[in-house]
Amino acid sequence: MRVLAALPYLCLGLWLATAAAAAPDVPESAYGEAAVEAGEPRVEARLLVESESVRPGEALRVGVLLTLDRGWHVYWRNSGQSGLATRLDWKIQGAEVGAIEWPFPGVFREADGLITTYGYANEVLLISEARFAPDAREGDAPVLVDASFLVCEVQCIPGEAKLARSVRVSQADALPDPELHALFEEWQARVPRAADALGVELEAVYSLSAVRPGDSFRAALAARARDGAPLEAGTREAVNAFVPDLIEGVELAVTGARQPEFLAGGLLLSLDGRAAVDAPKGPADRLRGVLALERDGGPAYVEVDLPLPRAPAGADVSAIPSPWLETPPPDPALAVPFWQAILLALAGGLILNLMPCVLPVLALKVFALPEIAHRDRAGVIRHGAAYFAGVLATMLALALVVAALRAAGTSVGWGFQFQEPLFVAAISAVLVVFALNLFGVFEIGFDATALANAGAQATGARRSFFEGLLAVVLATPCSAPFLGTAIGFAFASPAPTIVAIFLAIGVGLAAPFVLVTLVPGLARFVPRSGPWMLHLRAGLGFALLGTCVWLLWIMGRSAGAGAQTALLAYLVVLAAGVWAFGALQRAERTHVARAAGLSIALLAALGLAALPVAEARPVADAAAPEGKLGGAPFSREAVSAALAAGRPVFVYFTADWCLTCKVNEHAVLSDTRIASALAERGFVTLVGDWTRRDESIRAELARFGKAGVPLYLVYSPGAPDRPAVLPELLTVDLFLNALRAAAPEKEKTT
Amino acid sequence: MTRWLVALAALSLVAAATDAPTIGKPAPAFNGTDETGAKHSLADYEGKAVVLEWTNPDCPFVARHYEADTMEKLAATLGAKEVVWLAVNSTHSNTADDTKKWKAEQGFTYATLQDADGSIGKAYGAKTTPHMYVIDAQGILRYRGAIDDDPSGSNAAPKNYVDSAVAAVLAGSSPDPSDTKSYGCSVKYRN
Repeated sequence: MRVLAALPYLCLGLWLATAAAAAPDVPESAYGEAAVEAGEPRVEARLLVESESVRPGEALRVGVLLTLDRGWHVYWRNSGQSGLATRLDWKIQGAEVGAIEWPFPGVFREADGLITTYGYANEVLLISEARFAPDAREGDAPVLVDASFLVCEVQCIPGEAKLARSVRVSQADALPDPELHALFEEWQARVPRAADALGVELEAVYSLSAVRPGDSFRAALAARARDGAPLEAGTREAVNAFVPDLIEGVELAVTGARQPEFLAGGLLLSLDGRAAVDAPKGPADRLRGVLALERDGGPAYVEVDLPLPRAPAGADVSAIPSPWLETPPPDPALAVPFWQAILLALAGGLILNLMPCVLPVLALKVFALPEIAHRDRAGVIRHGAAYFAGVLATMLALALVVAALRAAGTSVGWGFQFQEPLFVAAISAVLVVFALNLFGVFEIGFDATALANAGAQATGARRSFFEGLLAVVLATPCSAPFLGTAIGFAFASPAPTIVAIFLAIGVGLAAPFVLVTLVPGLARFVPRSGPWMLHLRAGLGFALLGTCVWLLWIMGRSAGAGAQTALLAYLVVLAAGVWAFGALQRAERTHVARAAGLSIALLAALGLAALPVAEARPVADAAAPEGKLGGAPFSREAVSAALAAGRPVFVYFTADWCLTCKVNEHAVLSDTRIASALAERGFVTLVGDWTRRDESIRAELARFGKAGVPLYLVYSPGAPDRPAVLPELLTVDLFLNALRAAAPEKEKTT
Repeated sequence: MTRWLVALAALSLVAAATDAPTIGKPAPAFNGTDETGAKHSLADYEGKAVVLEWTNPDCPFVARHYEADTMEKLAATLGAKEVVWLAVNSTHSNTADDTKKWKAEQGFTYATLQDADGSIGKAYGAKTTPHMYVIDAQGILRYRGAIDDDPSGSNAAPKNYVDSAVAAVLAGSSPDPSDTKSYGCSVKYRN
C-alpha cells in the first residue's frame, strides 16, 4: 500500500531526472546561463512557451525553466529566513502576464535548524499565464523575460538572465508541442490550488484570541477531506508539509504534524509563532501559505488563506485552550517501529553488561569461567543455557508483573521494584544467602550424594540459572543508551509487546556469557581450576556483600535509619539460620537438614514481611543530596515558572538505586566546571528523585518516551517546549556544550 | 512509515531549539576577540549605543553594501556621535587574516569579532548577512533586522533602518521599525 502510494512520486522523480537530462530545445535568445562560479554557470535558464502560436483573446502558458547544479537552490516567493525570492519580469506584446504560479517549494534547514529557507533544488518551471487581448495584433509577438534570482549552495550567487523569443499571434489553431505541454502540466500539477476546488477544508486555531505585537503564540492548522478520506503529509518529512508565506511582522515555524483521532483522518500541523514588536504597517491578518497533502495515494497541493486575528499592542486578549494546541507527548510507540525497538532492546541489554549495576554479577560470571571451562563441553553449554534461561525467565516474570500492575491500574517504570523497600530487603537477603553459599557455609540442595560432589561441582547449573536471575534483578535499576528508548516503547505498549521487548533485553544481557560458553576449546584460554578456586569463591562472596552495602544504603535513604537497622538485624538472624542449616548438612542429617531448610526459608519470608520498612518514611532532610549539585525538587510548575522568568533550567531525574545516575552525579554533575557553568549562566537546577514511587515523575519520564532514570533535560527560556535531552551516559564536555547551547553566558550584574 | 517520520522530525526539532533575544530586553552579553586579538565585550561599551553588523565578505549582499559603502559611511557618521560599530563574522571558515585582508581592501576601521564557532551569532539569533542589531547605552536591544528596506538592491534611495533606529535611540525614543525581517545570505555556521 505504502509502496503504491509512493509510486506517483517515484514516477515524478524518474520523469524529472529524464527531463533534467534533456531540457527542451529553445532558440538561442531564450537560453541563458547565470550565476557563474569558477567559470561554471550554476543555473541554466530557458524561456518556454507551451505553444508557438496563440489566438487573440486566448491565454498561453509561458514559463522560465531553471536548471540548477546539484546542491544549489533558488528561492520561493517567501525565501524564508535568508535568501531572496526569485523574480520574473515579463513583457509580452499584446498580452497581460499573470503572477508566477509557484510550485510547492522544498524546505531547506541550515545550522541545525536555526535557519529555514524555502525554494527549489535541481529544477523548477515557474509558469505564468499570458492572456492575449482580443485585439492583439496578428503576427510575431516578442516575449521577453528578465529573470533575477539568488542561487545558493553554501555560498550564494546572484544571477540574472534576460531571455527573449517570439510567439505567433494568429487565428490558426494553436498546436502545442506535446512534450512541452506535458512539462507544463507536470509543473502546473504541483501548483497549490484553493482548498475548495480540492475538496479540502482548512481551519486554524490560535492560542490567543488575537495576536499583539511582541506576542509569542501557538497555532494549529487542520486539513480535512470533505469526503472523509484520510490525509497524510505530502512531503517526506511531515513538518515540511506546510510552508508559510511571509506575513508582515509574524514569524512562523512548523513544529509538528500528526493525525489526531479527533480529526478523523485529517492532518494537524502545529505552528509556533512570534509577532514582531512593531505594529504591522499593512494588513497582516491572514495566515497564508501552502500545504502539501497526500490523499488516496496521490499528492494534493492546497493554498492556505485563513484569518489570523491581530490586535494592537496593549489590547486585552485572552488565552484560548484547545486540544488542537496541546503538544502531544512524544509517543514512543510512534517514535520507533516494533522491529527497531526489538533491536534497541537487544543492544540495550548488551550494554547493560557494562553498566555499574550489573558489574558485580558480571564479575561473578567472569570468575566462574575457570571453574566451568575445564569441564566437558556439554556441561559448559548446559551452564550457558541455564544462565540464559535464568535471565529470560526473570525478564518474563518482570514483564508479566509490569503488565499485571498496569492492568490493575498502577503505572510503574523501569526499576520500579527498587522503589519497594520490601523488595530491597528481599534482594539483600538473597545476596547474603548467596554469599554464605560462596563462603561454603552451606550447599544448595539436600541430596547427600550431590553434596558429596559439591567440591567438584562448585558451580551447578542451578546456580547459573540463579545468577541469571540475579543479573536481571540488579540490571533493572539502570537505564542505558538504546535501552531507554526500548523500555519507553515497551511501557507504552500492550502486554505482548512488553514481554517481547523484555525478552529481547534479556537475550542481549545474557548474550556475552552465553556466547563465551559456546566458544570451542574455551579451556585453553583459562587457567585450570584448583584449590585457588575456593579462595576466589570467597572473594566473590565478599563482592556480593558489597552489593548488600549498597542495598542497605538505599534502604536507609528511602525508609530511614530504623528500617536500615531492622534490615541489618534481620540479615544477621538469617545468616545464623543459614549457618545452622549448613551445619546440619555437613552432619549428613539429610532429613533434619531438609526440615530445617524449609523452616528457615519460611521464617525468613515471614520475617521479611514483618520488617518495619513499608510504612517507614524518612525525615524530609534525609534526602538532602550529598552531591555538590543539589537543586530544588522537580515539578512541572517549577520548570514553567523558571522559564517564564527567563531562566534556563536543568532538570535531572535520579534515584538512589540507580547506579548509573550516581556515577553520573559523582563523575560529571559534581564537577566544578559544571557547577560554575550552571551558576554563571543563571540556571535553575531541579531534581526529580524517583527513589520512591512518584506518579508525576513517572509521567514526566513517559512524556519523553522513557520509563526509567536517569533522564537529563536542559531547557532554554527561548524554547520552553523543547528541552534538549542528554544521553544516559554523561561527559563533562557534552554537558557543558548543552548548557552553553541553552543559555549564553549571563550578563554580569554589577 | 509517515508516522515515525513525523515523530523523528519532531525530535530533530526538539534538538534544535534556539531563539532570538527580545527587543526591549537586555541584549545577550558577549565576549569576543577581533581580528587583531583585542577583546570586546558588551559590558565594555556601557554608556554607548552599539551597532552589531553580521558580515561575511563572500556573501553578495554584503559585497553589494560594501561596494555602495552603506556600512562604512553609516559607521563613520555614527562614530562621530560616539556610537560603537562592531562587525561580527560567524562564518565557520573565516580567519582573522581573511578579515584583515577584507578590511584593507575595503578601508573600513571598525573591528570585526571573530565568531567562527558561532556562539555570538547563535546567542543573537543572527540568521543572515547582513543582519543588524542596535543596542542602547543601557545594554537594551532596540533594533534587529535588515539594514534597509531594499533586499534586491533595486531601489535607488532605500530607507536605512539602522540609521533611523540609532537616531531614535540617541533621541531617547523607540525605533520604528524596531523588528524587521533581515535579508541576505544565511550565516554560514559550523554545523
